Amino acid sequence: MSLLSGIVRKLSEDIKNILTVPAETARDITYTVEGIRSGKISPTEPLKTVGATAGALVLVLALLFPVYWILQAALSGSGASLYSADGISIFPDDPTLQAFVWVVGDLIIPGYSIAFDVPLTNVSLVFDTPEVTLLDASTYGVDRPSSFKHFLWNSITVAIPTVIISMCLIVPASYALSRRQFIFRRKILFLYVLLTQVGGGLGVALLIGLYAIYVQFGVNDSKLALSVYYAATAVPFNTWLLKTYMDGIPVSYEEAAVVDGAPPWRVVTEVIIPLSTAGLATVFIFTFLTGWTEFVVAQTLLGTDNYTLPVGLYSLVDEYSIPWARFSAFALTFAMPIMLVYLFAQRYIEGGLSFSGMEG
Amino acid sequence: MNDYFLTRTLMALDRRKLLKQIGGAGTVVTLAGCASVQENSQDTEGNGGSDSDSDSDNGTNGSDENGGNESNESDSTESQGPSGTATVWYSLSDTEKPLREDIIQAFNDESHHSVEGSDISEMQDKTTSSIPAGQGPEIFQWAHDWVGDYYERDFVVDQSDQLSVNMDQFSEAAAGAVQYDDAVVGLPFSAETVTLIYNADIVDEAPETFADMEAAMEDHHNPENGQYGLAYPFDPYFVSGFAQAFGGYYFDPEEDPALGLEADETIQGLEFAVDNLTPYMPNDPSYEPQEAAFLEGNAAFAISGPWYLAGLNDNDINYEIMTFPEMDGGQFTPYTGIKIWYFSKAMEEDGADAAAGREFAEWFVTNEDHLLSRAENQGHIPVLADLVGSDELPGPVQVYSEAVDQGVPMPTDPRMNDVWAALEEPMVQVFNGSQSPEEALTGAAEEVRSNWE
Amino acid sequence: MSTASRVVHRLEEVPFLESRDASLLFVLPGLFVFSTFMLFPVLYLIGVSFTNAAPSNLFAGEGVFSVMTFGEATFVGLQNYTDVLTDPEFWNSFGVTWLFVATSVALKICLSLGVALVVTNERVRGRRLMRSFIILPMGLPAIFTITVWRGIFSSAEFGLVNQVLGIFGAESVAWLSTRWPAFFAYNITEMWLAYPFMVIITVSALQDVPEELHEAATVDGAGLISRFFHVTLPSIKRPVLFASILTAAASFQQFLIPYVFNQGGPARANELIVVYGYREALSFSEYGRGAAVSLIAVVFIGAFMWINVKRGKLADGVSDE
Repeated sequence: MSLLSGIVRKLSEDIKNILTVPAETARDITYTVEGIRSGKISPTEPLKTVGATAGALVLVLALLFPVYWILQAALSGSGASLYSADGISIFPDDPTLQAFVWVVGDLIIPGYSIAFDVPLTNVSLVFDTPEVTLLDASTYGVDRPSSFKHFLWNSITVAIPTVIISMCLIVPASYALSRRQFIFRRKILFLYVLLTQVGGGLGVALLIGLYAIYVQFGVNDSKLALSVYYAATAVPFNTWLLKTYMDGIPVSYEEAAVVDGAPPWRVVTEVIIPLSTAGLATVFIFTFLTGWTEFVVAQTLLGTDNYTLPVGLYSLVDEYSIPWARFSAFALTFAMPIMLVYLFAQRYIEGGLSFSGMEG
Repeated sequence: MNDYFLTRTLMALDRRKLLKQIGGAGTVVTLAGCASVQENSQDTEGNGGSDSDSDSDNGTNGSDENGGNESNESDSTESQGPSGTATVWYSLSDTEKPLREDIIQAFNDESHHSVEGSDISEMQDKTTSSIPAGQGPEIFQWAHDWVGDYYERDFVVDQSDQLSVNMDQFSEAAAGAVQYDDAVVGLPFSAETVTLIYNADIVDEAPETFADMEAAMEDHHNPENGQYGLAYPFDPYFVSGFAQAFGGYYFDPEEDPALGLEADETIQGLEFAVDNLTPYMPNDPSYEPQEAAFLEGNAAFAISGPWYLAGLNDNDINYEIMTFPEMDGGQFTPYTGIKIWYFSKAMEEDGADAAAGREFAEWFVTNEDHLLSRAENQGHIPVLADLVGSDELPGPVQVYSEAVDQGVPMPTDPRMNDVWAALEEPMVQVFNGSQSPEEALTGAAEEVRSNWE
Repeated sequence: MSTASRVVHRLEEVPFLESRDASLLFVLPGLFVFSTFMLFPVLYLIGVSFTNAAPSNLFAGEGVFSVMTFGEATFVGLQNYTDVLTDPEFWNSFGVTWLFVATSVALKICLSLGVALVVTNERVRGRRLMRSFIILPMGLPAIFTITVWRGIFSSAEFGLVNQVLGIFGAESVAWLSTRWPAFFAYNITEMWLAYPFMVIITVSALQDVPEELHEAATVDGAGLISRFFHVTLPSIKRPVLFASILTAAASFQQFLIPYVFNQGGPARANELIVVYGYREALSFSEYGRGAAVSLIAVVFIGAFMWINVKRGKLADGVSDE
């Protein structure tokens, strides 16, 4: 619980920090201007800062230009295309959010009637919650919005079990590999590192084999079975990652806890896990991404009702053409959660990947 | 269930009055199972226009599972076996999906059978993995060029004995397209091919001869300013119209030799395309960049199929469709595709679900109202004999219908797959000028022959 | 997480598991699940590679079980392997693949190091925000971004890259239909797809470089460049090396870029190894041969990883010492 409240506290700090950025910057600038005026700060210093920031901004913008290009296609409505003989334009001529409205569809929380039977009487109590309309797609000229929400639900119900299952497999294994000595330990570790990248790319025959097994056991078109598969593929890399992270936690903390008389399981929950937050966050993101972005296997195993977001995205493409505006809007909406999660989990992930344990 | 009815009844009462009688809600203690939460049905709330919510559900769920109940209500169909539910697969563009869902709904309302539609993103992969594993649909929609291959692989089955529609209800080409080795493995419902389209804001009048067309292309072509004479995806399918223009052919099991890639006439056709068309086209031979040029009003002509028209309408392009103008000593003869409902392996066991699939396919391909509405809304070219060349068809469809007549149906022989595969790369080389048409076609023919062995 | 601790607790209570090998039990579930899902398909693949499996015979029998027992495909021994290893196309593909690994990894390291240094530089304001924006490509499905890059490298005069070239007065290039420009396009795209992962790792490593080292070097009069080579680089070497090995393996198995761009063209010149296997399996309907190619590829990538893991001592940990 303390772990959870810690996360919540840090998240709210982060949000506060982000929200106060403009104010901070303004104060910063005033301070610097004051400093220069009174001669405390040399005028070249802020110039260097401005120059460096501008340079970095240019670099970031250049890297993200393809994304901007996609965004522009998403905003330019039904006629959008990645191929325009009219030349590069920095802004779409006639920007419209219609494609995004089409992706998101109606956001209407339906009204509910909540009824209670009062015991021993013949009366019943009925509440009506109001219907809340956040976004009504039809007012934007979108009659048939996409099935994004349906796909989203599928993706969530695939990604969350993936994370839970893989965490259950990865955390104990990493702990054991990092802290204990046992038979085959080095061999398993070696195998895992070896397999981090070999798993994929085995090609079509592998897919046929996989499909045959799933059908044999009657679990094709099962989101849970797909989650188990994703969790399995995530095991080697993430176990190895978390193990490396745990290596970096000084053993002295545990020894102190043991000296204090803590039983072994409390050493794990109160020392190892809290100290591994960054590593855990990283593994969380990576396993989540596995389930969130995988396309080929999901496409083969799942029926239309269970399509996840990447499969849903690709079903927009037909034999002859790609509706670029909708395609792009769909993809960007799809990527948004990842970016937001990263924005907030950044400090953990960057800590989790530092491989401090490797510099031995 | 009691709760449900009680709630419904109470909802009709004046709720405020009821609440007043009861008093503060917080004090009410309820027993487990006595509390119910129910979503208000939309019509009682009277919020117009929000039924698009249920539409999106239809999009993924197809129909409800209890299709069987409907047999009690409607007895419109004459033969009443046990009612079945068929799964049908199709791969449609976004603009086509709503109409398909409506048509399926119409069938489900009318028949004691029901069908569940699914839009599949990779039809070939999905059918190849699902059908042999016994997970396939009853019927699926695709162009007819898989007929031979899928029949030999046992992915599709012969239904000639069970069908109640007759093959001479369809155009000759369409009837031929669904048959292979005397088996009928599907039912045809529309044809497609490519023909010439021009931008009427750029080209004053329809060119009568190819020379007129070339002059108009020459006039307008100016790549420096992003203007092009012609937009034409340069791939084996699109180019077939020229390769076969002077009597040549890619592959025809009836001819000797069956492989016609090296025939002088075929080479002549490809040379014609390279000499007279490629100079006026954008540099990228693939579909999207080519079609984008015309779609944005930057090309005088385009060669494309009926699926292209929706985009042109969206972009307000002032276009006209015509059959290809006269060429000296030849005629534009493209391959035509017939869209058919394939009878998949799942229909092998002749149960109620198979009957449902068959009945849906039969109804779909013979229902003139729906065929006409698809012709009108999506430019589909009907192949039902009664509708072929009919005046009821919209103008563009009539033109395409004529173009289909000029074309030849793609062969259903599985060996054709090797021909397509072998031609893909050489076409790009020819377009780039790194191979001459003769080199490219001879090389492709050699590859095809080595793969056939 | 509480599940994990409970498991730990219970295990400690079981008397005969007191021996230190009991810890193996923590690792076994993961190993078991992984093997179930990967091992059978791989065994199946090995089986297929010794047959003449093709869609026509693999699916000829009734039901799934028949497919699992290779249908009516017949055993052909090492035929597929000898065919593949004597095919000049295979060796071309093999060479191009390693070249691609070398060039793309070099590009990835340069770009990522550069970007990471910029977005951790203390002079740059808003660097945290920048860092979270530049990882955006990681969240987009690869199939989507690659389709977009396909458009960027269009050979048409109005392809994005060609338009940019046009601004500088250069001729437009037929990117995807000439060999080396297409290879170049693969590299740029691969670099863009992989940089977020590399940048994250490099940034993390950079933040671990002790401040005192820099200060000491500055006091000694070391310049920016000399500090980079003598302080920064040695401290981040191992994480970056590790990331490079992982990303090299990813490059080796790159399928979507060549496939979506031009099917490994022009004229099969840039067919990376997985594309080669895919073409053998699907376009030519020879699953047996395709499987053999996949397995040969796996052997090579396995050997590559093995050498690197050994040499980079990646499987070692603190507790070993």
